[in-house]
Amino acid sequence: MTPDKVAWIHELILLVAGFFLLCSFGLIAASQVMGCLRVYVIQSLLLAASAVLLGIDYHSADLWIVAAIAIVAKAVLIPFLLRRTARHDMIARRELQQAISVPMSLLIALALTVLAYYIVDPMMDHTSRSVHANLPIGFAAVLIAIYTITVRREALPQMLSLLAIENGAFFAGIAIAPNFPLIGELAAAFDVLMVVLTLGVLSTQIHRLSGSTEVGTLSELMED
Amino acid sequence: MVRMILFNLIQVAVVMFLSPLAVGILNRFKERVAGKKGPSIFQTYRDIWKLFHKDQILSSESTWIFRATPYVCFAAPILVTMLIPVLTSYPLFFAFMGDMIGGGFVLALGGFFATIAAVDSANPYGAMGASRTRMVGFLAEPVFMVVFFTVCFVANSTIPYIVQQKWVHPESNFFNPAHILVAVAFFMLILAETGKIPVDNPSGHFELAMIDESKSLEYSGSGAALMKWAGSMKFFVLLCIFLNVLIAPWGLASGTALGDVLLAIPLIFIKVLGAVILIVMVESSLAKLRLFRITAFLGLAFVVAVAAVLTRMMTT
Amino acid sequence: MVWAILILPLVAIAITAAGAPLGLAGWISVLAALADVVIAGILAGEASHGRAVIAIPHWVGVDAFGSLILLLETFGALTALLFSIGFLSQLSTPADRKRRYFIWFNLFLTALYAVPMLREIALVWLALTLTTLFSVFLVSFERTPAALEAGWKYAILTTLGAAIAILGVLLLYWAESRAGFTAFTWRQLAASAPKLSPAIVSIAFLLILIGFGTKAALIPFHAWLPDTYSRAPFPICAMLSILESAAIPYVLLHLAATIRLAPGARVDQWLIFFGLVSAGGAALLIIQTHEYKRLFAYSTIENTGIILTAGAMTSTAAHHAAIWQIISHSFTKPLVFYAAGIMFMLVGKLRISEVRGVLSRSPWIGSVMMAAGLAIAGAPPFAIFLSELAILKAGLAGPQMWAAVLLSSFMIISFCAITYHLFRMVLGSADANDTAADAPPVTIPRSCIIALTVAAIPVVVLGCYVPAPLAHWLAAATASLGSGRP
Repeated sequence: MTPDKVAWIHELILLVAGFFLLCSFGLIAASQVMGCLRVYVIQSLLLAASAVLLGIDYHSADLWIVAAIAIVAKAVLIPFLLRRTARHDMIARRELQQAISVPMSLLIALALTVLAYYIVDPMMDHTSRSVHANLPIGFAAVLIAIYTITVRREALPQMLSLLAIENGAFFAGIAIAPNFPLIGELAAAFDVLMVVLTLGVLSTQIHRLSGSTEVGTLSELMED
Repeated sequence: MVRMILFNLIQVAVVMFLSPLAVGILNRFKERVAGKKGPSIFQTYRDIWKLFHKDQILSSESTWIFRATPYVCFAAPILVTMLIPVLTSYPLFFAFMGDMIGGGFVLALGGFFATIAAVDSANPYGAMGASRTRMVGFLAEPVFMVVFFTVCFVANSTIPYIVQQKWVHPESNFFNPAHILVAVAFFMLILAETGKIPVDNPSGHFELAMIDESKSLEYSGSGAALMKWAGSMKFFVLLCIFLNVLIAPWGLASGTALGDVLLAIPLIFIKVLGAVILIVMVESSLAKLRLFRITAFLGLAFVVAVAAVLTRMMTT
Repeated sequence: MVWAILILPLVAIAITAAGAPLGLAGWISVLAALADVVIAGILAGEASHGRAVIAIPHWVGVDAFGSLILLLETFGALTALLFSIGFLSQLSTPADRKRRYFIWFNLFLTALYAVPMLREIALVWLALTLTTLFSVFLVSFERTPAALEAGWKYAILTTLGAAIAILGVLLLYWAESRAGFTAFTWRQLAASAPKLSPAIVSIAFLLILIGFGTKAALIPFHAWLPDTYSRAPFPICAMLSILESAAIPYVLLHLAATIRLAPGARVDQWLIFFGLVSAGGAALLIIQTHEYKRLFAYSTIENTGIILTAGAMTSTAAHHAAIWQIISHSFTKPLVFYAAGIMFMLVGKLRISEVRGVLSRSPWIGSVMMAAGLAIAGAPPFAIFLSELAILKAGLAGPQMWAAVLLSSFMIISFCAITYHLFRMVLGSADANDTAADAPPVTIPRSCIIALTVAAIPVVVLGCYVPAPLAHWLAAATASLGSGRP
C-alpha cells in the first residue's frame, strides 16, 4: 500500500471510532425503545466497518469474517429476534423514563470517556495508530454502556446496553487482537444471540405478569 | 489591494442579494416535500420590497434601542462577511480584522440587540420570546466554545482562512473524526441558532410556541424589512462558515483574477443549495421538540463537540 | 470417555424433549448425573498422577485441578437432581414446566462441566457465560413477579460481568500475541507468561476478576445475589453455590497462577483485596440478614472470598488449603440447602424471624438442619473446620500474616452469626399463635431424603480424615496451580 493510502485508511479508522463513540452517547440519549435498537444496529455496523478497515490495515482476512459475523448476528438477527420474542407494545413508540436526566447523563458519559483514556494510557506505548483509535474508544464505550444499564429503567434498553458493552469490548478487541481465534468471535456472537433470546423471553414474561417492563421500579426484593 | 477591497465588496453583495433567495428556496422546498405547492422562490425579495414601501409604526413606549436594533442586526452579518471566506480561499483585505471568535461576537451583538429590543417593545410575547432565545443561546454557547476550541486545537489558528486549509491538506485529513464531528456539532448549532426544527418552528404562527419569531413581531415597515433581511443574511453567513470553513474550501476561487471570483459565485450557491436540501430533509423528518427537550438536543451537540476534541486528543 | 461427561446430560435432554413423562425425565437426568460422577471419578484417578487427561489436544482435557472441580460439580448435580425430583413433586406447577426444568438444568450442567474441561480460554469464557443464561429460567422457575424480577437482575448483572470479562480476555490475548504466541490455551498462556507486558495483563486480570467476580457475587458486585437466592428453588441455590465457589475460583486461580509469572504484574494484590473485602463484607451481611436462604448465600460469598485470599497467598501450603476449602465447601453447601429445603417444606416460611422451634416440631429435621448449619459455619467435626484451619495455619506461617489474621476474625464473626441465626430457628418452642404448628405433619419426599443422605457422606467423612488417594490428588492439583511460583 502507498503511504497515502495508509493515511486514508487510518483517518477512516479514526472516523469510524469517533462515530462509534457517538453511538454510545446516542444509546443514553435515545428516548424510545426503537431509537435504542436503531442506535445499537448502527453501532454494530460501525463495528463491522472498523473490522473491515482494520482488516485492510493489518492484512488480516480474519477480520473480514468478524465483520460478516457482526453484520449477520447483530444487525440482522438481533432486531429480528427482538421483534419475535419481545411483544409489540414493548417496542412501541413511547418516551422512556430515566433515573438521571439526559443532559446530566451525557456529561457523566463524557467524564467516563476521559476516565477510559486514563485507564488505557499505561498500555499504549509501542502500539500502532489503529490501537490508539480503537482501544480507548472501546473502553469508553464499555464504561458508558455500563452506566447506561444503571440509569435505564426498562427491560429492553437495559438489554441493548448490555449488548453494547460487548460491542465496545470487541471494538477494542479487533484492534488489539486481530488474530483472536475465530472460535472466540463465534462464541461471542453465539453468546449475544443467546442473551437476546433469554432476556427477550424473560422480559415478555415479566410484561405478561406485571403489565410493564419497568424493571427499575420492581423493588419487591429490597433487603430490609 | 484595490482588487482585494473590490472582492470584499463583491462578497458582501453576494451575501446581501443571494441570501433571500436561499431562504426562499428553503421555504419552497419544505412546502413541496410536505406535498404543497409552496411560495415562489423569490417571495422573500417581494416581502422585503413590500415592507420597505410601508409606513413604520413605533410604539410610544419604546426607546432608541427599538429603533436602532434593525440597523445593528443588519450590519452584523455584513461585518462578519468581510471576515470569512465566502468566495475566495485566500484572505481578502479585511480578513485579519477579526478571527472566528470575533465574528461570533459580532453576530452575538446583533442577537443581543434583537433580544433587548423585544423586551423594549413592551409586548408580552416579545419578552417571552427573548427569554426563550436566551435559553437556547446560553445552552448553545458552550457548544460554540468547544467547537472553536477544537478548531484551534487542530488548526493552531482561529483565522477562518487558515482553518479551512487544514481540513484538506493532506486530503485524508477530511475524514479526521475531529473534523466530521465538529461539522456535525456546528450543523446542530445552525439549526438551533436560526430557529429551525427541531428547536423552533420558523413557519409557525402561534405566538405562544414561538422562540425566534416573536422577537420581531412589533416591527413594521422598513424595520421589519431590515429584520427579515438580516435574518436571511445571518442564515447565509452561518451556512458559509459551515460549508467553507468547517466542511471544505472546495469551489472557492484560488486565483486572483476577477473571472475566478465571479465563477465562484454559482459554485458557492450550489454548495448552499446542498446545505439547504440537507436542512429541508432534517426539518421534514423531525418533529419540533418540547421546550425542555431542547436541553437534550443541545446537550447532544455539546457531547459531539467534546467527542471531537477527545478523539483528537486520544489519537495523537 | 471425556466426551461422555458432556454428552450424557444432552442425552437426558433429548429423552426429555422427546416427550418422556415427568417421572422418567427426572430419573433419566439423575442416572446421567450418576454416570457422570463415575466418569469424573475415573478421570480424577488418571489426572491425580499429575498428567492432564487430554481428549483433543489444545481444546478439551482436564488436569488434576480441573478433574477435582469436575468431580465436585458432578456430585453436586447428582444430589441436586435427586432433590429436585422430590422438591418439584411438592409444587403445583404444570408438568410441562417441570419437564422444562430438567431440560434447563441439564443444559446448565453441560455448560458447567465444560468450564474445567475446555483448554481454550475464550471457550471457557463462553461456557461460564452460558451457565448464567441457562440458569435464568431455573432461577425464575416459580414465575411469580418476584421470581421473574430476581431472574432479570441475575441475568442482567451476571451477563454484564461476562461482558466486562471478555474485554479482559481480549486484553490478555493481546498481551500473549505481543509476546509472540498465537494459541490461546492455558498451556500456551503459561508458556508465554514471563514475556507478558505487566501493564496490560494487570488491567486484563483486574477486568476478568471484576467480570467473573460479578458472577461469583464478590462483595462490591453482589447486588443480584440476595434476590436470586431467595427466589430460586433450593437445588438451584446449591448448584449456583458450586458455580460461584468452585468453578469461578478455578478459572481465577488458574489465571492468577499463570499471570503472576509476568514480572511486575499485579495479581495477588487484587485477589487478596477482593477476597478479604468479600469475606469481611459477607460476614457482616450474615449478621443483619433476615432470610435463611440469603444467610447461606452470603456464606457462599464469604467462602469464595476465603478461597481467593488463600489462593493468592505466597505458599504452597496456602494453595493446598485453598483447594481443600473449595472441596469442603462445595460438598457442604448443597447439604445445607437441602436441609433448608426440607425445613422449608416443614414450616413454609423464608424469614428467620418466622421460623421457631423446628427441633420441637420435627426432631429429625431440626437436628439435620442444626448439623448442616454447624458444618457450614465451620464447626468440628465437619470438613470446613479442617480446611479453614489449614488456611489459617498456612497463612500465619507465610508472609501474608495480616491477611490470615483478618480472615480468622471474619471466620469467627460469620461462625457466631450463623450459629446465632441457626439456634434461633432450630431451638426454642414453636410460636403458640403459629397455626402451622397444629397442621398435619408434612411428608418429606423420599428422593429429598436420599439426596440429603448422599450429600452428607463426604461432609462427615472429610471432617474426620483425608483418605490417602485424596491427599495425593490434592497435592497434584496444587502442583498444577502453583508450579511456576518463583
